[in-house]
Amino acid sequence: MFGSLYTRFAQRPIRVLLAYTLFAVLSGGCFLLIQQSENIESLLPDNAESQVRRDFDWLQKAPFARKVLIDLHAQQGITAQQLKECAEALSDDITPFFTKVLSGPPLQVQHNLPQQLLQALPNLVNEADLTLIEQRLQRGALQQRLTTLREQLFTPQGWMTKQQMQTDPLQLWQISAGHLRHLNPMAQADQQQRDFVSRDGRHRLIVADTDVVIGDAQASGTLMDHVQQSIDRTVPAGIVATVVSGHQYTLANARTIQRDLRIVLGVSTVAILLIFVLLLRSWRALFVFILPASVLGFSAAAVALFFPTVSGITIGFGAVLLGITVDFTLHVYLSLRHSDEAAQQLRRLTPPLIGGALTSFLAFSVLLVSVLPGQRQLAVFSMTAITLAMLLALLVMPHLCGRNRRNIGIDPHEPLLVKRSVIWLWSAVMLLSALAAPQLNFDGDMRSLSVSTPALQAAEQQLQQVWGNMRSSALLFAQGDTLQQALTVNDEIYAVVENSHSVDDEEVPPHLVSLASILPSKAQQQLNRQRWDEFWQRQQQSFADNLHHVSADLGFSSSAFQPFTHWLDQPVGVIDLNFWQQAGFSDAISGLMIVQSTQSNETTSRFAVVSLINEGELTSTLQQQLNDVSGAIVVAQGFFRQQLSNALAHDFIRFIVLALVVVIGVLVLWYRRVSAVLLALLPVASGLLFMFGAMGWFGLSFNLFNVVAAILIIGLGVDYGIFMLSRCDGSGCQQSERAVLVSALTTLAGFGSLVLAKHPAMHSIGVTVLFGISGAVLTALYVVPAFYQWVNVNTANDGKV
Amino acid sequence: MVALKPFILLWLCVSLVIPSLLIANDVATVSSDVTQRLNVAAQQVQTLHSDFVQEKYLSMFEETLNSTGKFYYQKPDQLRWEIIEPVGSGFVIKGDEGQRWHQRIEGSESFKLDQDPAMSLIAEQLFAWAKADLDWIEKNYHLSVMSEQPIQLKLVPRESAAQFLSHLLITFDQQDRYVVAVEIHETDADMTRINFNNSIVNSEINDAVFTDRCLK
Repeated sequence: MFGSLYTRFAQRPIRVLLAYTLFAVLSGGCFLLIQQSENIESLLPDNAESQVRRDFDWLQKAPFARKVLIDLHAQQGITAQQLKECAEALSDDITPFFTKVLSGPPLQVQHNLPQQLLQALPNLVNEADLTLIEQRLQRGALQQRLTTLREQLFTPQGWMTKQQMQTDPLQLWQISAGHLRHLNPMAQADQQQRDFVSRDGRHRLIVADTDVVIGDAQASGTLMDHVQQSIDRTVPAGIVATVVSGHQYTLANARTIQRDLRIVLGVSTVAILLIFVLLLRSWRALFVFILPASVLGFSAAAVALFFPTVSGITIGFGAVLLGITVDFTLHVYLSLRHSDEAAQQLRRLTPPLIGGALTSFLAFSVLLVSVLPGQRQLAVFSMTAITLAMLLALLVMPHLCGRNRRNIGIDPHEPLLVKRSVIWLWSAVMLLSALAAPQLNFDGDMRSLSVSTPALQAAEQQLQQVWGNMRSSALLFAQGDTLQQALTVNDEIYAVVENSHSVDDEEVPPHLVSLASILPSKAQQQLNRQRWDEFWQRQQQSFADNLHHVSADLGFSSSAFQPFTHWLDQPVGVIDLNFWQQAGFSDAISGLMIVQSTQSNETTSRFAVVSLINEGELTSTLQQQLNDVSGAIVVAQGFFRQQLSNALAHDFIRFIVLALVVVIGVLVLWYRRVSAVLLALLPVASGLLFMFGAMGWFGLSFNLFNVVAAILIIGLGVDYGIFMLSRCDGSGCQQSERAVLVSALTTLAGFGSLVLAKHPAMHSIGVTVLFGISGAVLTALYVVPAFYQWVNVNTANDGKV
Repeated sequence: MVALKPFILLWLCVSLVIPSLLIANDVATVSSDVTQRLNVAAQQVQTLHSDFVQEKYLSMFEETLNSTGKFYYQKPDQLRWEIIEPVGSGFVIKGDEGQRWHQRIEGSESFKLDQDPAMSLIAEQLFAWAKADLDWIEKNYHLSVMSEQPIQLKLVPRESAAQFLSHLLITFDQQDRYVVAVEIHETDADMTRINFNNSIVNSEINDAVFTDRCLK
């Protein structure tokens, strides 16, 4: 059919060119019109049973997700005062670039805080608190406390604390204050300081909030530049400033990619020019690359047709995978350019070309069942691109490749002669690969695909040592349609953790950063007040007697503590958000609360209260207990990575098995001979085995990017097998081995050169392509002909041919 | 109508001038003479050492609380306030840092003024009296002169101290060199009187006085 079409349009090539130009323009237009999404959600599983996407959404809301942390470390010779002045100067200098800058806990401590803490106590009190209060009520303890108060009145401090003594002689506000420790995410900071100061006093911390999205490389760069300039201006010699934030990783990635692109593009451009000059030698060969590239827009449009948002990552990978389709135009170019009978050559070329396209098409189709929307988009993109590129190769390329008179007239049936010893060499390499392949690990950790410099790692480590593990705490979300519902769930989470044991010390519960200790739900507050009332009903009479006698002995007047006894008799009101906001805790509380509009209706909101716990404390038992709390969501970064890893590993194994089944199925239907199927599969199998083996020998892991690059190996490897088999049995074109060689070399030049990149993701693609394509092309060019000859000689000897 | 004019003028005089005279008398600002005398005297004081007797009249107690102690000051920012009887306790301040102690507790506890609002407020008061720092006093108090010889100032707090202090009365010695008495009147009518005696100006004070709990 394609031969006839070629003959029909051969007389009117201008019409073909015009039609192609229209196609290319429309495709380009589609590409420009399609909005690409830059977030990485397309790489997260979206199946119903997976929690990865949900956890990812919650992780974005973590209190430390967008914060920039600056640690200031005083070297020898620097005083605490100098360090403090430096922190103040730096805070002031960076303030214009951030939404909020903190150099101490976000508490605007009011002068009457002890009074407010006392007011809150009946609503917060627990059994442990009551035990402490009961100890203070004992006569001896009371006498000691009132003596101290009396002595304090001789000192100048007594001028200010006299009223507080009268309203709270037992200093019960201290018990409420103990609850505030649950608001401190920095377990290792000096609790006595008003600023973020380390226990040894040699470090200070500045915490800056920003609206800049972590993934925005440009804005991250500007922000980090501002921070660095401020550090240069305000931090003197002898103080070391260490900055830690997610933005730095974005920046490190972006800068590494920029550097890599300069190197890789330089190397690949030189390599492709060499291939062009040595093997193609015509300007018309440019169409070999232009035609496949022009299907990009329509392929992206096909994705947009089936998916609500088109992932930029999908399009990026898709463009890489378009390398497969260069095969089609390359075979047409080399076959027709060196033949006098273009239509006949095209007819001979069409079956292996369609066969190669079909196997690649179906190999990609298995990605449609992936749990990652990005991979499903990639399937649609690649299937469209392969179909269109194949049609362009068969319909348009024949009119563009011209004729090279020098090589015309070569016999297409001339056999390829390869020494049989190649088989032994290949067997040895495959055996070695098979030995090492089992050592290959699958690494689903997204962090290993990101650039992390030694400086960043050292900074993270220092921050963790000095300030605790706050950046990687597990998050416990308590959800509800109302704030009260969320607080009720939060109470349950708090109770579960408080009743468990710390991994480090079984005597105490794990440290939990939680609002529940100062803002329980109304129901819990009522229970606490009930507990408080019952306690004082039991204790009030004996306390009144003790207070009367002890205070009289110390010379206090009978009305000295009337404000306190009067307060005990008064009904106590509920405390709410407003109460703590007025007490100066607005920022501390807002950092642990999330109000989100529901998707369907922006006027209604859902509430979530966040608690933080060290991920190391999250044992499987505790996790199970927390998961049993209705409305609670546990999100731990380590668990999230594990889940993602499992999802990707599962997806990868499924994809490899399905792709091989599909490819083998197509080849069986195509050839209907076991020997032909095995020979056609030999390059792809060898390429994959060599890739696995080489990566195993070098101790490399297989990651998400290797998976996608492996598709390239499968697609190209099967093509190489089909074309070389058609070359061996004389049904194909005489230029097939040259086309396979050029295809492999261009792929290696374009993608194999990525092995020089420092960025882990780009390097991974380079490694996969370098090992996989090298193994596949060498097998296709030398081992397939050798096996073919061997098989045919044996069958000829057996008299079966 | 014409006959009413003298009465109207008289009424205007009575209603406008006399109240302003009364007000001026009540909140007499510090005259330049007093300011100058205090500033000159303050500049000459490098160190100051006094014993003090404190009397507290508090509604919380049936009787007056009496105590005695010692006060040391050295320009610009060193201070020691020590109660000897009935219970030993006190604090020293040097720059931004200090230590406080109590006789029943071994050793002393360090503090920093910028992290201890209460101590910071107390230190500001004591330094202001010792330095006779009129600028600082005027910034934080409405100041009026109750007597010019000896100088006695009345200080009504403007902001932070107003919640527990009604006013202070500070009396200087005949040569205006140092404070001899301070009366602290609280908002609930409680009162503290501190009389400084045996004051010695510009004697050499051992550095240890401002750093160590124990004096040898």
